[in-house]
Amino acid sequence: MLGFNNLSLVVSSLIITITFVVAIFAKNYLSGDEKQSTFYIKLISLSSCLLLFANTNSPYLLALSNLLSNLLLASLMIHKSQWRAAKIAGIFTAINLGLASTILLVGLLLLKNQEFLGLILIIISASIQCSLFPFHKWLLSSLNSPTPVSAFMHAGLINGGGLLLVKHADLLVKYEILMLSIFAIGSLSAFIGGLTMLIKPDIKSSLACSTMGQMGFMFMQCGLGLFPLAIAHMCWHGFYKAYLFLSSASAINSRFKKDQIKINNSVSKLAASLFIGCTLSLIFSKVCFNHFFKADGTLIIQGFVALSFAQVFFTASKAQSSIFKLLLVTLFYSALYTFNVLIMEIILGDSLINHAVDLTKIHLFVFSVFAALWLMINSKANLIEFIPTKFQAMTYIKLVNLCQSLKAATTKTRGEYKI
Amino acid sequence: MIKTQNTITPYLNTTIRDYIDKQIIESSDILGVYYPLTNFIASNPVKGLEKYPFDMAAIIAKEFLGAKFFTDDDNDFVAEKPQPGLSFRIYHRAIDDEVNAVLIKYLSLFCDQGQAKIQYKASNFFKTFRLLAIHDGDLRSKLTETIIANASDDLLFSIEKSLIDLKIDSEFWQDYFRSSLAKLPGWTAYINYYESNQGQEISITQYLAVRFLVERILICQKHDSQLSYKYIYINDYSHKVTNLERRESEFRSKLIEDIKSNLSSKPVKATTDAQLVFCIDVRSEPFRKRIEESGSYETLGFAGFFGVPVGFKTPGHNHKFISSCPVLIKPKYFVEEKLNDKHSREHIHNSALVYSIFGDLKYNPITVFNMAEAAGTICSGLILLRSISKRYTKNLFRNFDKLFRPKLVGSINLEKDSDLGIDLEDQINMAENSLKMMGLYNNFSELVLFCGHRSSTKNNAYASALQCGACGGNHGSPNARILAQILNNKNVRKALESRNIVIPDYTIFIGAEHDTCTDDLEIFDNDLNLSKTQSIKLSKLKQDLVQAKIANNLQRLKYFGDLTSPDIRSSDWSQVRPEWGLANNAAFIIAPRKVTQNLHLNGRAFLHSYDYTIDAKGSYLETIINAPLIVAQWINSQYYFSTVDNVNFGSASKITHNIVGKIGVMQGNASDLMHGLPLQSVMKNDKEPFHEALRLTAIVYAPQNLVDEVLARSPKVQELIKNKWINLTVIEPVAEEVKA
Repeated sequence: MLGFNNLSLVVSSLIITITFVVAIFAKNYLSGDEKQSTFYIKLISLSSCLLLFANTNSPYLLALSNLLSNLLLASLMIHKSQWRAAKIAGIFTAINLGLASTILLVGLLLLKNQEFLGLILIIISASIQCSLFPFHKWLLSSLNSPTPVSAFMHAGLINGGGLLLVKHADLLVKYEILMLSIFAIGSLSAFIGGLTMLIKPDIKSSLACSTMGQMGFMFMQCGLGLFPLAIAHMCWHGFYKAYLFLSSASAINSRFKKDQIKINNSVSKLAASLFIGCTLSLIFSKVCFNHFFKADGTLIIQGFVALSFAQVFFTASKAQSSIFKLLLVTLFYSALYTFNVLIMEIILGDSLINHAVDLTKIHLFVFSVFAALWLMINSKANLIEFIPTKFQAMTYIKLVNLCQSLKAATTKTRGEYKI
Repeated sequence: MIKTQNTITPYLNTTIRDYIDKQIIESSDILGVYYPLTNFIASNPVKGLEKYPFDMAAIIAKEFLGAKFFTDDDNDFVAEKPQPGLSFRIYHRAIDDEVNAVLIKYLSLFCDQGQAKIQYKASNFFKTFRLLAIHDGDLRSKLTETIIANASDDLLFSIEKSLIDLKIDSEFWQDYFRSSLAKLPGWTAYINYYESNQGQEISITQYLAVRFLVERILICQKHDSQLSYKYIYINDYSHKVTNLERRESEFRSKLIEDIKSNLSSKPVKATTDAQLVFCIDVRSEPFRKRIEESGSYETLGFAGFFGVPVGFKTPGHNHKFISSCPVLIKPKYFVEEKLNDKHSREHIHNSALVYSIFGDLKYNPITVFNMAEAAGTICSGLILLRSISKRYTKNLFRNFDKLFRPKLVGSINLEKDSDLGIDLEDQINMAENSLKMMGLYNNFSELVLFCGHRSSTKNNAYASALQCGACGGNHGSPNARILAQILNNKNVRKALESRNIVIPDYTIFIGAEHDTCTDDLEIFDNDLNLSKTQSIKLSKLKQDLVQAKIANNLQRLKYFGDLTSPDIRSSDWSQVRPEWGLANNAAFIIAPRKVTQNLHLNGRAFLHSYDYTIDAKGSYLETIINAPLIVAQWINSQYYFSTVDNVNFGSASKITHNIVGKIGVMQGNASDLMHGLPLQSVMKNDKEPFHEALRLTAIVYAPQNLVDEVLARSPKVQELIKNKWINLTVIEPVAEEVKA
C-alpha cells in the first residue's frame, strides 16, 4: 500500500513545508474572513490527500487520492460561493481535474495488460494535471481563488502530473516514442507559457502562464530521461512560485522593470557572454552529469544552462560593472544553480532512473527554437518588433487569446462580485 | 435640440460635432477619478455628482451604478412625488456583459504601464482596438471587418455613425453616454484620470467610440439587439432627516461642545523645548498628543508638503523626479538628493545590478526555467524565515536591510542651477507663507521639527494609500527637509525679519519623518551643526519620542483588539491590516492647537493650525479651505463610500486581488478596475465596519464675517456645503487682540 523511498521523502517534505507556509500566511491574510476556518479544514485535508498520493503504490489509492485532492482544490477555489465567476472557475477545475483522475485510474488499470495504452493515458492525465497546452484553460481560469490557495496550487498540486511520470519512469523509458512525445508536448507548453507570461497585463495571469511553461520544462526534463532533474525542478520551482504568489501584492512597486536602454554594438559582449556561459555549463555538466560533454539528452539541458549563465554575464556587462564583479555574479549564480541540482541528485540517489535519452533531430530543433528566441529577446526590447509590421497585430492578439481564462469565469459587471 | 440626420455625410458638420462633444462632457458627471496605485490619491468615487445635492446624487448613483450611498441602517430617505425636472434614461442592453468582457480585455492590455514585456500599442486606444479587433478570434464575425473598416478615424464621426446604427435618438445621446460610462465605473475613472493627467492616448471619447463598435459587432454576432431603458425623474423629492444626519449632528455637537469647554479652561505654555509640525493627516493627532504629554513640546498641523511644491529625486530611484506635492498643483521646482560618499553610490549600483539580473532572467522565456531552480533555495529560505517567527524575521530583516538596503541619506542642494534648485526670492516667499499659514511666526523654540510622514508596510498594494496624500502619495520627508534647510539659511532669515518674522539665532529647523505604522520618528540631523544646548534638547526629545511611541502603540493595540505589536504588523508580509490608516476620519479643524489641546479626538480629526489674527484679509484661510480642506473631503468621501458599498466604491476583499498593469487591481481572473479602498482597510471583518461613515465636518476657529468673506470667494467649497457633501461650522473666537 504505502511505499517510502527517497523520492516520496523529498516530495512529502515539499508538501508539508508548503502547507505549513501557506497555513501561517493565511492566519493574518484571511483574518476577518468568514470562511477562514473552513479554509483550514480543507487545506489540511488536501495536504493529507497529497501526502497519500506521494507515498502510495497502490493504483487505486493513487487515483483516489488524486481525485480527492483535486476536488478539495476545486472547493478551496470557490472561497466566496456567492461569487458566480469563482464558482464557475471551481466547477470547471473540478471537471478538468476529475477527468484527469478518471483517465489516470483507467490508465493504471490498463498497465498490466495494455502497458503502452496505459502509459499514454497516464501521460494525458499528467498533462491535464500540469495544465499543459491545450489543457491549460483550467489553470488560467483559477485566479478567482484567494492568493494562498493559488500559492498552494502552483507549488503543490499542479506538480502531481510530474510525479506521475516520475513514478512510472521505469516503464516509460522502455518506449522511445513516448519519451519523445513527453519531450515534445512539454516543449510546446514551455514555449507558449514562456511567451504568454510576457504578454499578460495582470500579475496573476502572468504567473499562471509562467507555471504552465515551467511544467512544460519539467516534462522536457522527464522526456530527456533526467528524472532527478525534473524532481529538482518541481521542488525549487514550487518554492519560487509560492513565494511569487504570496508576494504578488508587491507587484505594484516591483523594481524589476526591463531596462529600456537597448544595447548597441554589443555583439562582442554577447559573444563573450556565450563563451562564459558555455564554459561554465561544462563545469556544471561535470559536476551533475559526470561528464563534460556528451551528445545525449543532457546536452539539451546543458544548452539551457549555458544560456542562463550567459544571460547573467550579459546583463551584468550592460550595467558597466567591473570585470571582477561580472565574473563574481556569474560564478555565484552558476554555483547556486549547480548546488541546487546536485543536492537533489544526491538526496534522490539511485532511487530514480537518471539515464539520458539519445538525441534526435526533434530535440535539436526544439533547442534551436529556444536559442533563437534567446538571441531575439536580447537584441530588442519588445519581441513583437521582430514580426513584419503587417502581421504584428495578428500575432499579438492570437498570442493573447491563446492563454485566456474561461469567459464565464470572469467578473463582467462590478456588482457580480459578492463578498 | 438637434434631430437625428437620416443621411450619413462623410464630414460631420460642426453643430453635430459640438453637440456630441457637449453631451459627452455633460454625461461625464457619472465618472469618478482613479489615481493609479503607484501614487494612490484618495478621491471621491462619485466626484462628478458633487454638483447635485447628496440625496439626489444617491438616487442617480443607485440607478446608474447600482450602488448604495447609505449603510443599511441609514437608508431611510425616500423620493416622492416625481415631477418632470431632472430626468434620466438608464439604458440596459442584453449583451452588456459580453461588451464589458471585450472592453476589459482591451483596456487591461492598453492601459498596462509595464507588467507585460511584449506590448502592442498604436498611437491611441481607438486605433489600437481597430487594428487588433479584426484579427481577434473572439470577435470574429462576417461583419466585424466591415464595421471596423468602415469606422472613421474621426472619433466623433464614428460615434455618430454607431449611434445611428444602434438606433439611439439624438435627444437621448447624453443618457446613452452616461449609461455606457457607468457600465465599467472603475476603468472609466482611470481613463478620466489618464486623460486629464497623462496624455491623449486614451480618453473618454475613445472609450465610448470603442464601446459602441463592440456593441455593433456583438449585436451582429449574437443577433441580439435588445435594448431597454428605465426612466427616472428626480426633482421634488421629500427629504426626511436621515439616520446619517442624526449621527453626524451628534458627532458635531459633541465636538463643538468639547472645543468650547476646552476654550474656557486652559493656560497655554509660553515657551517649549521644541516645536514639532506634523501633517494635517488624522493619524498625526494621537501621536501629537502623546508627544505633548511626554514633555514640554508644542505641536502644529500643516499640509504635509509644507508648502514646498517640488519634484524630488532620491538617489537610486529610477532616475525620475517624483512629484512631491498635492495633485492640485504641479511641482514648481526640481530638487535632487545626492549621495556624498562613494560607498553608498557603489551600493546603489550593486543593488541595481542584482535587480536587473533577476529581472532579465525572470522575463526571458528560456532562462526563467533554470532561474526558478536557482532561486528555489533562496526563496525557500526566505519563505520559511518570513513564516517561522515573525519577531525573529523582523530583526533578521532589519539586519538584512542594513546589509542590503541601508538607509542612504544624502544631502539636498537647493541652490539654483539651471533647471534644478529654488530661487532665493522664492525660498523666502515660501518660508513666509508656510510659517504664517500655520501660525508659527513668533515664540520659536530652540528646535523646530518639520515632520513629514510615511508608512512602512510589506507586500501591500495599497502602500501608497498610507503615504502622505499632500505629497502625491509619496513619503513626506523630502519636503520637510527642504523647508528646514530653507529656514536655516541666514539670508532667508534676514529677509523674513523685514516681513515681521524674527527667528532667533538659537533656533534650528530640522527635517523629520513620522512612520504612521510604527510611530517611529526619524530625525534627519546628519549634516547639522547643533549647539550644545540644542544637542541636549534633541537627545532629550529623542528619548521622549520613544515614550510617545510606546504610548501610541498601546492605543493601536486597542483598536486592533489584538496584541501583535505595530512593529511586527509593519514588517509582516501576510498582514492585510498593517495600520488603520485614516479610518474613522470625520472632522477637519482649522484652529490653533490651543483650541483642541486637551481633547481626545481619537484620530478622527484633521488638524490644521491657523491663526486668524494675522490673516486680516483671509487669504491664508482661503488657501486652507480651497486646498487642504478639499483634499480632506476627497479622503473622507473615499472612506465613506468604500465603507457603505465596498463592492461598487471600494475594491472588495484583498484576498482575491490581482494587480493589473501596475496601475490597479482586478478581482480574480478579470473584472472592472476596482477603484477605492479594499474591504480590509475599512472593515474589521467581512461583516462589521471599522470606519464609521460620516461626511466631513469642518470647523473653523475665526470670526464669522471673515469666514463669510472667504467663502464668498470659494465657489467650489460653497457648492459642497450647499449640496451637503461637507458641513462647515464656525466657532467665533473669544475676543482677542488682533495683531497685524
